[in-house]
Amino acid sequence: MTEPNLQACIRGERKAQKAFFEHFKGKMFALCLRYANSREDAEDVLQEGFVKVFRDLQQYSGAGNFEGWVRKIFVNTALQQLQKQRRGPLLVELSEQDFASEPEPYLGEEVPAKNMIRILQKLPPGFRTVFNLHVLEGYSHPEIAEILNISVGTSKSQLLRAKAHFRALLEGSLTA
Amino acid sequence: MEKNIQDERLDDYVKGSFDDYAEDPATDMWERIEKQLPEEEPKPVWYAWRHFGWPMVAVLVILILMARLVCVEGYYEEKLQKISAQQDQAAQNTTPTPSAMPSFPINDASKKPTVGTKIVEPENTSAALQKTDLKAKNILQKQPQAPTPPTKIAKHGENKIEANKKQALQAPASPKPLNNDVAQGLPAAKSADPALISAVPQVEKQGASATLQADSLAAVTIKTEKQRDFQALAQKSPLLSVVNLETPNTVTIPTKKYKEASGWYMGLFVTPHYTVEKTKQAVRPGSINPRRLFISQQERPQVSSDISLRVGKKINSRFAIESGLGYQHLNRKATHLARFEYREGQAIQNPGGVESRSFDYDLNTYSGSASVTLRMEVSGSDAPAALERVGALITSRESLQILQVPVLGVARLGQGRMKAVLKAGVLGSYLIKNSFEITENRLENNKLRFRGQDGYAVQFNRPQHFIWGYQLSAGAEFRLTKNLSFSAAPTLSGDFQRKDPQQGRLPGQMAVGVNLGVGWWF
Repeated sequence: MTEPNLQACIRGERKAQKAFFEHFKGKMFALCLRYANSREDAEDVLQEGFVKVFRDLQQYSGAGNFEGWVRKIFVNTALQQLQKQRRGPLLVELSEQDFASEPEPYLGEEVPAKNMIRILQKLPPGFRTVFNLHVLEGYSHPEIAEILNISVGTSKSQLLRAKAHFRALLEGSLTA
Repeated sequence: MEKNIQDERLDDYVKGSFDDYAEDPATDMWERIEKQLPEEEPKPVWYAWRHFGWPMVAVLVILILMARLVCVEGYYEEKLQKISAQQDQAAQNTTPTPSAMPSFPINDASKKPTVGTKIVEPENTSAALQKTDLKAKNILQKQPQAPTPPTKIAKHGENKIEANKKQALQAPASPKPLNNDVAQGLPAAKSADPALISAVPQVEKQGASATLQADSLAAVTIKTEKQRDFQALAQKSPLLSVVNLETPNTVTIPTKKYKEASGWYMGLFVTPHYTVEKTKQAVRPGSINPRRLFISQQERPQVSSDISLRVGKKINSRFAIESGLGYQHLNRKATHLARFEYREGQAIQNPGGVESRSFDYDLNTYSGSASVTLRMEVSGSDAPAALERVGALITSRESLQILQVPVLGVARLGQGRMKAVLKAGVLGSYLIKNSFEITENRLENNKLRFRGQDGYAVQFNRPQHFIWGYQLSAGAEFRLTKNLSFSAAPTLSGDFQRKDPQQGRLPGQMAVGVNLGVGWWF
């Protein structure tokens, strides 16, 4: 696939924008699916994310990885949508002992990404968000704390619980 | 420590699962995004030049060349008309009245008359004749290079005059009608009437004899159609004899025998076009009052082309009838968005297996309605609730091979090589092949998935093979030669409204394109 022409996208040339969309749509939609509650929500995030990218493209300084910059916009859009959808707090507090005794799943069998997304979508939104940010996006706990406006300790505890919950769901999926 | 290792394993495991994973969103996602983007700014001139410059130049050059051809043709037509008019004028001058006689400038050898008057002198006008001889001699001396007409009586001016004199005196007393032989030259002198010969002094008074050239005396051509008039006039005229002299500059146009056109022509036409289709809504089969279940729409205008060989016959100078045989291969891609509730599905007996249900709907295809069955099974441990929405996004492709028979009325307007061409008529289409397949399916509900091999089935419901339509075009035709012509015309074609056996409207397609053709006229 050819690299999109950023200058043409900034000028608002529709053909270039469409090429840009075609280039990133698959990866970004996979990202949206991991954060969203459903496919419809993920499509809404994708739509809004691309509109933001085209709007803010001229702000991209050229420093750093461009795809990373685009991903960041989509992650922020997904988080904003989750916060909009939830009237209560984004993070769910669960007791640690709920998952402390969960067995470690056998990880030798490969789970298709499609199924993995389904498992992720079954996680409570707060867990899913921290899990995504830390495990898949590579953010540190201080960064997550800043993004979600929570404490570093809360970020760590949420991740711990998210992983426990995820393990349980994964185990269920593998044994089914 | 062990916990950390487990965490790292899990992280790597999850990351590995998502490595370069990509999934396509809904097919109409770009259209949805595009609606939210600001309008594209008008493109500057340089942009147009960068993208369309060379094609524009090519089109311009072709137009200039065509215009040049038309202008050159017009130029020569005008020239020929002028020459023809001159010849007609010359013909009229063969019957002058005395007062209308051309007055030639005296002693002006440089202005040689193009249409002269030959006067045959009588014997008893020796003084006048001597004067004329002298003038003729002078002119011959001054203009040795003067062009000579094709027929000559004698080589030298003096001799010619002498010869003419002799012949005039030997001519019979009564005038006899001129004929074609006379018109070719010398015999005009033989028909001179002595009564007219006696009137030569009057000519001298008008100065005509003073400017006669010796060479022009020999070039005698009389328009055949004027012979009778001339004869009548000659009898009344006081002149000795008045005949039209052929101009030395007469243009001879070689012409072939004109073969009348038969009015038949044959043409090969190619029409690249966009096919667009109105959005249709499919229904659940068998419903008396069907609830709309699916939105079926053609994904985007399809680019296609048809080719046809046609034969035409002119009825008159403007109108013709045209018909022939054409072929079109059309791929019709459509997206169907399903909206079911889980309870609307029929349970599939699957002892020991996972819970499965089938969902039916009627889909409008180009050749008629088709019954589509989607079979889904529960993907996880939880089955959807009865009222839970089951959405499916189906992309289908219909491949059509169509034979077309147009019957068109043709009007050609204008003159010259370039003509406006209007065509209108009916188009009979016969489907020789029609195949349907679902190329992509996606469920919106994560609790369900399509069953492996038998995830869907399609059954045509009495497909229609013959479809009536219309075709309109308006463009230009350029006649390069008598037999060869080229044409280009924007074309609009479509289907008349059709209904399936359940009286449901079938999708009517409309194609917009450019009909390009080359024709051979017999």
